[in-house]
Amino acid sequence: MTGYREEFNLSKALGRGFIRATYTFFLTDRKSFGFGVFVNDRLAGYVLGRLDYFSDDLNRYWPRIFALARALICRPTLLADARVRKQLFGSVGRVCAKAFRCNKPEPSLENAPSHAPGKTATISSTCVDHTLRVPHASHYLLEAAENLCRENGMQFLRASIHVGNTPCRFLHTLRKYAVDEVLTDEESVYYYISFDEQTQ
Amino acid sequence: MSVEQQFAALFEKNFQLDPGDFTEKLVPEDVMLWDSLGHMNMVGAVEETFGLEFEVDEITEMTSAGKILEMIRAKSAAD
Repeated sequence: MTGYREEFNLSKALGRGFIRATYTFFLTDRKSFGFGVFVNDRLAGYVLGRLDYFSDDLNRYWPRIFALARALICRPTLLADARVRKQLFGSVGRVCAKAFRCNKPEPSLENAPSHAPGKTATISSTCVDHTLRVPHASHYLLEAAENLCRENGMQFLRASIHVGNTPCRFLHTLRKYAVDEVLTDEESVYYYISFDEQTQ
Repeated sequence: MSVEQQFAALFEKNFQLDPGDFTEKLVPEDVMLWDSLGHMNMVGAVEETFGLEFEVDEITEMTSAGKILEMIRAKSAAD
């Protein structure tokens, strides 16, 4: 069966300080949101997102940049890993390229069906603890995120899912998300839901 | 036992349904344990029982019991 095994995770490789800084962004950013599912006071699942795109602002978040620098200074051998270099320099390259374009999105992205400046919300991560087995936990988490986006006048909610993440792709298919063919590439499938269609 | 009967029994066992509760019209919203994790367990059981292997795109499109059965029949005929 084609299941899902996590590919190389840059955040995990960079360590707890980097991960903490990443989540601190979502806790302190005024546009970000999160929902949790609890079982007997234990967190069984959560969803994190933003009422806007998040990648650029996350990559420019200074505490996270400092955490990255600290991780690389403490463990310089990380840069010997080609996977680290690829993802790291890819992110840096995207930030620089966007700055060069005066913060305009790539021309091809402007044609994406889920692109609506200021009106596209994005999911950063959806996680569930399968050992606690709360049926349909991720369904409820997504539903909560969708409701919040709808209440805040968002036009789309979009999520980037690794192409091999079958359960997550099944979830989004089930919830009637469409695939943004413009953004989807060999590694990631971009799913989105339109709130305008739902209100018609 | 026909493919349909075999699948129905497997489905009821996997999702802890009572015998006879299976219908091809069942969708995840109808079944307590049919979430994304339950779905992967179901697909794994189907692959093992029928000796099949499904692609990611096929697995994500299995949004009803009837669709799963349809894919089992199609794959079995192709093999």
